[in-house]
Amino acid sequence: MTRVAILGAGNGGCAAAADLTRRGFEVSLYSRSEERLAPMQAVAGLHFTGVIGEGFAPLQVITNDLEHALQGAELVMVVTPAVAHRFLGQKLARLLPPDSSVWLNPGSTGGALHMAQVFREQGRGDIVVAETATLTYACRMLAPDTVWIKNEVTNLPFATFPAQRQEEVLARYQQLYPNLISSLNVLTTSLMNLNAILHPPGMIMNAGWIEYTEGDFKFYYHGITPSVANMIEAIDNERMTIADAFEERLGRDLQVLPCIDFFYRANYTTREAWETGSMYQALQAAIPNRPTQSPPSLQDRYLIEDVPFGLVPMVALAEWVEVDVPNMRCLVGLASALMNDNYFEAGLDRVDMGLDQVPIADFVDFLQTGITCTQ
Amino acid sequence: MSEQNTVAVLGGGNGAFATAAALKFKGHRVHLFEVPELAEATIDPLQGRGAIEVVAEEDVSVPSGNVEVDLVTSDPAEALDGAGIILYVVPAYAEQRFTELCLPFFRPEQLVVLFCGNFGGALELANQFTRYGIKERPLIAETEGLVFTGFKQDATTVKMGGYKSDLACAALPGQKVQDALGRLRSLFSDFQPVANVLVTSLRNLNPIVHAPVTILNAGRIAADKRRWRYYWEGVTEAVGNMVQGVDEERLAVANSLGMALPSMQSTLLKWYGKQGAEGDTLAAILSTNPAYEVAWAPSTLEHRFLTEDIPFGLVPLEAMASALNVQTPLISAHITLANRLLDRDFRTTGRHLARLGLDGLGADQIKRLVEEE
Repeated sequence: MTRVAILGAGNGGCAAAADLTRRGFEVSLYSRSEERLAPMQAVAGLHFTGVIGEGFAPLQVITNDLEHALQGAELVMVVTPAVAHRFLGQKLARLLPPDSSVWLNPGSTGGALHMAQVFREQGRGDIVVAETATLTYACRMLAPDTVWIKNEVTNLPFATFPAQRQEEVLARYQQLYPNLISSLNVLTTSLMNLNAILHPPGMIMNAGWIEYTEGDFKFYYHGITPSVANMIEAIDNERMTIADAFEERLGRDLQVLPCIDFFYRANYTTREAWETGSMYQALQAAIPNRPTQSPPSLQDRYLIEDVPFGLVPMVALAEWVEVDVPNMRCLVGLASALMNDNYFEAGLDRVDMGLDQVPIADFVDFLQTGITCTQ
Repeated sequence: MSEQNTVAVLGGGNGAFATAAALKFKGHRVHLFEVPELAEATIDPLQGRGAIEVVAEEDVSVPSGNVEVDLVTSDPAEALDGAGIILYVVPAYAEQRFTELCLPFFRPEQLVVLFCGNFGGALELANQFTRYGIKERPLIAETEGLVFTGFKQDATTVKMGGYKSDLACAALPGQKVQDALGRLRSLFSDFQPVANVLVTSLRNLNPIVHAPVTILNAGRIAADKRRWRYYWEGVTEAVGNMVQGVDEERLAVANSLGMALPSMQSTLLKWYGKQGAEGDTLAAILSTNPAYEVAWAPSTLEHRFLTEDIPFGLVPLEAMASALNVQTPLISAHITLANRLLDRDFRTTGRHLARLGLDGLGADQIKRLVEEE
């Protein structure tokens, strides 16, 4: 029986823990926070409800001891916001056996590259880092010991860094999720981080509504009006332009999809809505997203993750291939001012992603093998 | 009838009605002029008698009651006949249309005042005289804001919202400000002279507050069908911080021209303190100002808070900053976001420096131009 270590016990980690247990895997669930784990430890498991059915998933290992969580685990899945990646990477570097792989579910933008850089800094360039463009579920905790699974995401692009290990590593994780699909490399998955496209516009253009009413509206269904969707489309077009520029420089088809196409293929919205070509229509028709309540405050991953670990690394990639992204920059600047931070500085740049010493001409080889000619 | 006594008020909206009524109460002869295409909606209800009912509470310096404006017309010749002073009381995007109709009837001995010009209104007006080849133009002045705010309750009734005392007023050329203030004294005795129309432009606070509050509530404006108060609910802590950031960029532009202007915080307290405004931060002042009780949020983004204040407020401010090498990242971000929200290009359609006759000029040249020409 395959043991999976799930690192992170928020919405996504709990969804994965419940679902994988239900499907017969052995799961160890880890969180830094004892407080978060206590209600689950009290019942030795998790209640679940939603599209996978209703029930209780017993969990033998629920721990804030990372070493304990990793014992006997063949598969390691990180389900935390990207803000936690550096911290976890430093600890994993000391604990993972040789030739391990780690799956960032999801990676946000540049997640695998960043984690690999952290590993390299600790002398662990042997660890393969995988990432998917988004989480394998749409989910929310209904109570501290209960998770609601609203959607199982299909056709999720999966890649590894280095890409030469992808086939073998994908096969391992396909035991858990058979419909993971192989994408070209982690550049593709990073550019397919659609949280960075959907969330910051909705947060910024509803900042007053969020603060005044503590998020008393549905984030997508009410908050993404046709005008707000204009900005989503604008930054999605910038993302596609970045992808096009890389394709031209690298001579490869990256298979990066427009947001609306992915939304449809990943089972979030209807064919009819997809055919309109309008992000507003696609979001209005997205049944799994309808009940999604707005965050109650601006201190939420929709800003504090999706800007510094989403838009900012996309801007860094754009600069590398000389693509202008004024709409993305506009949002990073406004988000920074709203949150009294400087996300251009705090977010991931090419140095953090281990790309600053990689000539663009060598980028594909670097993604394939993990090393450049100059190293 | 002495030419000096008649005031022509251009406009048919809230501000124009409030201003026309206030001037009547003060004993002036008033002509009210509206463009022909809007007359049916705005001035025709006054039925040629120019009867406006005014509802006013204390401290707005105007009593409640009825006034009759002396002439209500969309004939510019008629409107300007006998008028020594002409007041534009229209949103900035309407100025050009009013100018197009009235320009042939302006005379050099008149005083034309923009109430207010938003950013660069006086400069654009002066530039239009130049472009039309009119060598001798009237004296132009502008204020930093509207003296009287009012909200129409119905087609013939205006409720007075507030009175701003000690409004800054400048002339173009700047040197002639005492001339302008002297001629305005019988209408407005408390105007404060400032050096030039760059000062009045940079002191205009409408875009500084309206752009952030509208954009950071853009979803709610379209989606929330319940009535809500634009400032009281729309200016939360983070929104107030954003307004503060934009205000600081405005002040940085002013500083680079050697001007030390009052902050929005101090100006709001000056204007509205007597009505009970108070607070230590912009968020606190704006979200609790009693004068904003009747300020309901718009229900569409197609509203002058964006359609006027971006192209005629932030766009020229950004352009001026750029000419002066001052960084305005927040102002620029608001313009870009407004462009996306309304799917248009305000930097092209708005009041760029060429329209003000300032393109290609450096700081010293700009200052000299507004002082002397």
